[in-house]
Amino acid sequence: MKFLILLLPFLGFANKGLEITKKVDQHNDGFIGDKSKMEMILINAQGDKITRKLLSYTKEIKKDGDKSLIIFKIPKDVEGTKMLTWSHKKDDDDQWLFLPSLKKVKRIHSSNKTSSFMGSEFSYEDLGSQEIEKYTYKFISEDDKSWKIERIPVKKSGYSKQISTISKKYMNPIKVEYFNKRKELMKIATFDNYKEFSVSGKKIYRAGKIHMKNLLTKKESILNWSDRSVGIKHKDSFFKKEALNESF
Amino acid sequence: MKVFSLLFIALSGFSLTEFSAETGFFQRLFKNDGNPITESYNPAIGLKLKFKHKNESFKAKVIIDSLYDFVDKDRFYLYPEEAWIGFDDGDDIIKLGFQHLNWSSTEAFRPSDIINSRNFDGMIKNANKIGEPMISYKSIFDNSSIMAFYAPTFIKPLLPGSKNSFGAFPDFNKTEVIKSKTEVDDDIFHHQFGAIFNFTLGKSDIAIHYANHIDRSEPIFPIIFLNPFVPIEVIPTYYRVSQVGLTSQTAIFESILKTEFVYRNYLDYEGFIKNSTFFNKSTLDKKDHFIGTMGIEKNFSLGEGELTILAEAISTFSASNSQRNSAIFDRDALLGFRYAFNDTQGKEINFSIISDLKDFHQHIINLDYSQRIYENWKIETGINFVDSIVKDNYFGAEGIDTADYVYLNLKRFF
Repeated sequence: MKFLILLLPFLGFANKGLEITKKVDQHNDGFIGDKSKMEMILINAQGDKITRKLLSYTKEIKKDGDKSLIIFKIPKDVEGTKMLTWSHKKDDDDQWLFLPSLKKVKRIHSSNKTSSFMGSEFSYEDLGSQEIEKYTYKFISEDDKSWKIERIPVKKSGYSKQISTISKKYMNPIKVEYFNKRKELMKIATFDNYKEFSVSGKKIYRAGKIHMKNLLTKKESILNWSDRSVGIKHKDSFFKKEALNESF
Repeated sequence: MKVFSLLFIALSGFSLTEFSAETGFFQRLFKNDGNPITESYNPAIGLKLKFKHKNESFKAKVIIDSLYDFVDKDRFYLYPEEAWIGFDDGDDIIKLGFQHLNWSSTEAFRPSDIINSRNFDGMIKNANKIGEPMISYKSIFDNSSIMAFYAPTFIKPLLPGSKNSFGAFPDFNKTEVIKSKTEVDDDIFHHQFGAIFNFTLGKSDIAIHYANHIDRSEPIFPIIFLNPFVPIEVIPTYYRVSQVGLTSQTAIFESILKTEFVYRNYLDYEGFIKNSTFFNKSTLDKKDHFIGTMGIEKNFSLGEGELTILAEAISTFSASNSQRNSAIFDRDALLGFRYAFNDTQGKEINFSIISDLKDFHQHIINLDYSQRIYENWKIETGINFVDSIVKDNYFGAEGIDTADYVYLNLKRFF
């Protein structure tokens, strides 16, 4: 019994972490769909910079994870490559890659998310859909402007845990600290340039910039969004694998 | 380039137009095959032009590929990979013009990848395709799609010439298609049609296809003799084949399982060879048969990079012995890996070995490396090694046993 009493505050914190995450998730519900141009600046330890360009489309799916399509524009040798992801709340995501030179749509396994995305400090896991069900949560602290929550992946992940600082105004993260499997602080992402969008009378905020710093390699990556539209009703067929070798 | 793009935008009002190009210097050096006719060193330049235009539901695309060899002057080609106009409202797509279709699910052995002729100048494992004039219609449903095409012409494959170390062939003056048990013709007009139904079931992408076409993947080479000792001509000859097939890609146990099963029916023309006066009849015999391919692909994170292990095998069933022996791939297995460094230069290593499972006397080994240098340049290099004991009269890989080479490509993207 004593053991249970000692455990209760932690259970309470765990529930509070989940409650806040659910609240944040509900606040971001109803965005319908979005599209944007993405620019990724890769900075090595010596400060040299390289830029990558992508197009991004997302469609909100009720009662399941979102569907997203990324089209690679620069570097030119991979231009036209497309990655379609159907994320799911509990199950592994469905993911396909379209290779324009072969005109081929390949199903790829989504469990392997820990590798780098286009040579950046972002992994596929960082950029993929962040469904609530894929983590357990623990409330850490709060102040006037933010909550701090720890989340631990339920399934295979490149991280042992993540600590998110969530803005009460934007209802989105402003900072995420990523801990590697050895439980060392490995990367820090800061979210800036939040922009307000109005969708069906609801205010939704989206970050215009994520700056990811790798503390171990001293490399950095910056993701900038431009020409972003939220509340777009994309056609269902746009997110189907059958359309990957047809869409422009 | 910008001037071109702006011009098209101005002409078409609110639309999207892109113009891009890829050029390169391609060099390959073959092991000396002892043949005084073939060229061991092939320095060449290549140019690929790409144009895309979209305006509401109208779209158009053109990709033209070309290559010129400075030493082997016969090694020159210029053809459209794609050149079509189309209507696309997202659910229904109609396209008219030179198109390029790929129905395969596996990586190396692809018996379902039969549409389009190929350019056999390079690697047999992944020969480039030539666009073919056709009209196609695709309709996309909830979890499925159907696509049908009709192609009125037969575009012949690009076979290596006599100076090409890939070719055990003389220069061909003409190409023929078998029309009936007693007739061939060299007409370019031949009806070809087919359809594919794709659907997703759980974690499986499944496709069922049918095609009635001139089989360009496996030409036969009848030798016409003046008398038993004097050959006068070899003419690449193609059969009409009706093929049904089932392909799949399934996510299972953190891997992708890939299969292809096809049945090839040589229609009523099986008797052509028997009725003919060719002297190499036994090597030309074609019989209806099944082909099955199965493969597995598994990815691993390795540091910041990604390692992909690939294994595939192919076998032909109920074909004649000569047909099985003469097929480029039959009872073969591939084992390979790809390591993508996932770095800013896009460094990548590919290795594969294809072995003959009948008696392990044929092996094709590939090792390739590529990376970007600066942003718009890419270097590709590698070695291709064919190890075969010539025992069945140039069957399978035996015909290219001397085609060991190293290559170095430098590409520039615009």
